[in-house]
Amino acid sequence: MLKDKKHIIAIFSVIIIIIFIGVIAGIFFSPESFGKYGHYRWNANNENASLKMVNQNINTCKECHESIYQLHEKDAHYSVPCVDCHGAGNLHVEFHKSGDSTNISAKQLAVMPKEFDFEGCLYCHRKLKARPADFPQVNQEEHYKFLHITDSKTKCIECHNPHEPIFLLTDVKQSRIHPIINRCTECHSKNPEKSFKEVSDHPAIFECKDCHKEVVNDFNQKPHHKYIDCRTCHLYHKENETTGRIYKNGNAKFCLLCHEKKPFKDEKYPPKIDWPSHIGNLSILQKSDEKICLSCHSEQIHKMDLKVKENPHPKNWRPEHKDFAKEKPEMCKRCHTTNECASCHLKNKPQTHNDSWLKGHSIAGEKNKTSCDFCHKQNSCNSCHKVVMPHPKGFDELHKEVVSQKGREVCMKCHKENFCGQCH
Amino acid sequence: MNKIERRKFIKLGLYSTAGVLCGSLFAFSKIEQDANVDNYEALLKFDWGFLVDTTRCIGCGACVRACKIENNVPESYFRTWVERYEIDKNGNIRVDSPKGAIESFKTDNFQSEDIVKAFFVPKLCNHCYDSACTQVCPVGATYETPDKVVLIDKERCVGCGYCVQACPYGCRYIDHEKGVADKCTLCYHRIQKGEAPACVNACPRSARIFGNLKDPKSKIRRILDQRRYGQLKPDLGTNPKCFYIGLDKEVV
Amino acid sequence: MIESANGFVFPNEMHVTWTVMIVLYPYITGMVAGAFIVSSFYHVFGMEKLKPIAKFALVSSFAFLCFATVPLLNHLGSPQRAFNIMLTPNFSSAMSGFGFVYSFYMIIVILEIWFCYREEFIEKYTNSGNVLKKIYYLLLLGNTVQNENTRKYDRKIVVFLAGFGIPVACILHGYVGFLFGSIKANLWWSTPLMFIIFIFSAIVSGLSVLIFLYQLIHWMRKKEIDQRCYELMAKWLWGFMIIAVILELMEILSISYENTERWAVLKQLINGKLWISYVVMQIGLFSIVPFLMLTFTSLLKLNNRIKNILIFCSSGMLLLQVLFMRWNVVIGGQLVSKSMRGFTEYFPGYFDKEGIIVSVIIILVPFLMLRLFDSIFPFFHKKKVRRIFFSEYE
Repeated sequence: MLKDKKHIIAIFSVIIIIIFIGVIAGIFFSPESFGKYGHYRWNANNENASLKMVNQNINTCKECHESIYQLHEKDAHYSVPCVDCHGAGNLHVEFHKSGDSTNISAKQLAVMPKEFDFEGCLYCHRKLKARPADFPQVNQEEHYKFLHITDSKTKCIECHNPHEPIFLLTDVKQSRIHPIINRCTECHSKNPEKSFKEVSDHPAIFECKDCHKEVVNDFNQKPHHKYIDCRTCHLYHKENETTGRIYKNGNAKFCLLCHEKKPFKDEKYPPKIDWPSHIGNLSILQKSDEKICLSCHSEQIHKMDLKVKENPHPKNWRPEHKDFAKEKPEMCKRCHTTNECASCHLKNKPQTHNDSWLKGHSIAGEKNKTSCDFCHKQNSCNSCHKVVMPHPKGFDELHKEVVSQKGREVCMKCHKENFCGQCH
Repeated sequence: MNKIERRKFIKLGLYSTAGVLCGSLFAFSKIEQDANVDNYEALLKFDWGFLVDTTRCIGCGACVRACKIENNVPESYFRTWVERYEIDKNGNIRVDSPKGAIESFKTDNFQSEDIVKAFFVPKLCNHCYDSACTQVCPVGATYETPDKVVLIDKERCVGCGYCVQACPYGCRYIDHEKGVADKCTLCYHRIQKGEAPACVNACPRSARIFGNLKDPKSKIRRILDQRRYGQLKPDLGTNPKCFYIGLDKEVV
Repeated sequence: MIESANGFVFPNEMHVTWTVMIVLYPYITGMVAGAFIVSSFYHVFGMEKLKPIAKFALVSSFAFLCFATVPLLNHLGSPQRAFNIMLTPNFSSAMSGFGFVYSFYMIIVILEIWFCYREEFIEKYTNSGNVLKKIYYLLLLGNTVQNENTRKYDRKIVVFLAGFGIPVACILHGYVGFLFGSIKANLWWSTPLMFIIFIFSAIVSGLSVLIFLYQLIHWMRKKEIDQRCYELMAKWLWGFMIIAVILELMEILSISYENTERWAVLKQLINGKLWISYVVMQIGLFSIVPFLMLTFTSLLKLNNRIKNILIFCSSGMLLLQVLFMRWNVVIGGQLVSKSMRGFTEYFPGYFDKEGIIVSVIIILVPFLMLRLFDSIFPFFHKKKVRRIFFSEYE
């Protein structure tokens, strides 16, 4: 009987041996660290964790590019990390940290894309309905039409510096919170955030003119009001959902966005200027002043409280301004009206200098020579008197020589015939 | 004759198996030494969460581009992408995500005036607490780390694609070059070094917030405690860990 | 809202993950399971009429089983790691048991064939010489003892194995159905009925492939078939195909009657991308037509010749029906975007790694293998068949 079952035992033992070998092989081949903390290979965790980092943090960029970082930090793009425009930067950082500048291929790879084309800016700023309405976005065609830009291929960076795109006067992080948000609590008992996260969605409950009546009225008188509104310069937008922030703008670069002469812009409209030759060498202007435009043009926008720092003209300006005014009359007109000249000059002369002035001017000149110096140069006396006027100290002893050199006629212009006889 | 041969065969088999056993034991004893339990316990303090504020997203696609470069994602697949939802006045809805929005969006799909509501929704792996992909992986290649990130062991994955089918969010794909499944890792290599994930690092609007859910002081925890949020497909019981602020009913 | 959906699919869904290879796998395992169950009808349930086809069923089941994993391996991203599924199976996954079920079933089939053919092996071992003799000696594991006792034991073990194999075959294939049916993320797959449908469609495909090959081989060899066996199989086929098709339709019906969001999406799928392959081909042409043909052959008295042709045609059509069904399930389910707003496209491509040419080859190789097996394990006992045939008509 058993003999006849032998083949059955044989085949089953073969199967069992195969299974056994399989189990052993299974143990042998099962990966290390598998099942240590769960049904997975624990080492895989380290493998996943030890991959190389590609995208660089802004703080890494800051280590070398501190100045750009500071600039960037101040303006509206402060929240845009470097990698968004310049690429991941791992090769760049690697190359420059290695200090091996001889590796040419690495050097080439380390170059960061600087030029940002049109499309790159439009990734964020193309006008789309789905974008939050308070986010700055442009329809490129309309934007160019509005600005009278003739060349449609003009890149954004021709006008906007990506590191400080809207040239805010206030650091974006320190910008003032507009006091209107204090009124939110009148309706929203706690956080003003609750109902309208989009400022633009909020029904208009106030307008700028409600509080800033004078300024707005004034602004509406000025030509600018046809083209821009309050928010163009004073950006009002939310920082995080709860706060409305306001910026005082009016940066020179901001004005120049429209008014600077550029080859791609319409030449005539809106009025263009050459920059920086427009301000020339005017020492009255501090070139570093960000509000440089407003120091002259504020009247064209609206009344504003500009602190005039000091008299723009140098000390000896009075006597020199005559020549300057002759050469560049338009320069004077930038600040002064023609009425202002008349306050001193009556047809180019001060009112005191009437027809009888010439006879009596010696008395005024002796009294207060410096008042003459406001207008007259030293040699202007010379042109008539041919001698130093008024007579310097010790002239008594020297006059003999002057008379003998220049003749008695010179003296006789002022002095009478018998003047000599008073002493001699 | 037959018997002897068979005996020999069995003997050989026994010896060889014994040899294999010894060898394997030796191999195992070696491995046990370099265990880093400390690391494991350190990771238990974390529970990485992700928060997307859809009201802030501008759909620029910087996250998608950063992710592509960071993780070397194949051309036609995405670990994160941005969807756009547009609803017009007649209630028609259009959803699109051209190339995952890697080049952002070009034009509105409806006449701009007709659109009554439109918004962007960035998507990425939800790193679910009860993830379907971890459940279905036949070889234990998809796993949940102690700090609650769902990762793939690329040395073990066989590339069967079952996890791709099981993920209700379409976050997984098969990397045909490597022959393994792949997906968002929350940039595990970055977060282990204290950096934010590449997409969070790249987001210019802070629409993506990342942090430790176990830390009551973390930004993500604070926002989640204050604001109302939703999850994607909560009915499937995956318990996703990617939270959305301002989620619309149309978003799936 | 869904009506106006404009075909949004998640970016990662642009490519279908499970290709035509995953269509072929359940198709082939379906035939494996079906054929095995048919052979068990004879071995376990003692249906003497099916005896002529029992061994053939077993061997063809084995031939298909050998190739069942080929499409899977071709599809795997990393086929070199295929054994991971048995090394570190994750038992929370429905797929993890695959390796074990497959190997277990493989062992059962191999054992059953071994015991079934032991007699023939010994016969061949004694008759052949030299190299072949050694091969058969190895196959017999060096044991050539044969007598009444051994035959009795063998028969008992075969019955046991066949009986044990039925649930395993059902598991092997129903399990594939479960694999699909348990995916909650997929609208088209996720139904508990899926594995039942898969089992019945497996039996249908198993029966039709046996009928098809049985008739074909006998025509090619110009031999008469066993009419009683053939008709019985046709009747079984008729019955099982009715159950299979009704189950599929009931599933659709219940989804449509529930009329949830899910149906809103699936309606578009059925009326759109799957209109040809599902409604026209699978349900229309390849279900209703063979159903009518089999109804005729089963209920009406017909000329044997016509009857056999009708049965042959319907078995061929049902083979295609099952293939379409697999396609519609596997591919159809992946066409629906998980966003529920659109559908993807899929075409396997002709010359791709997972393209049409490769699929055709993978489908044909088991049949060629079967031809090869015929010389090792002859499945139609020529003499016996003839004897039965003659005894019936003499």
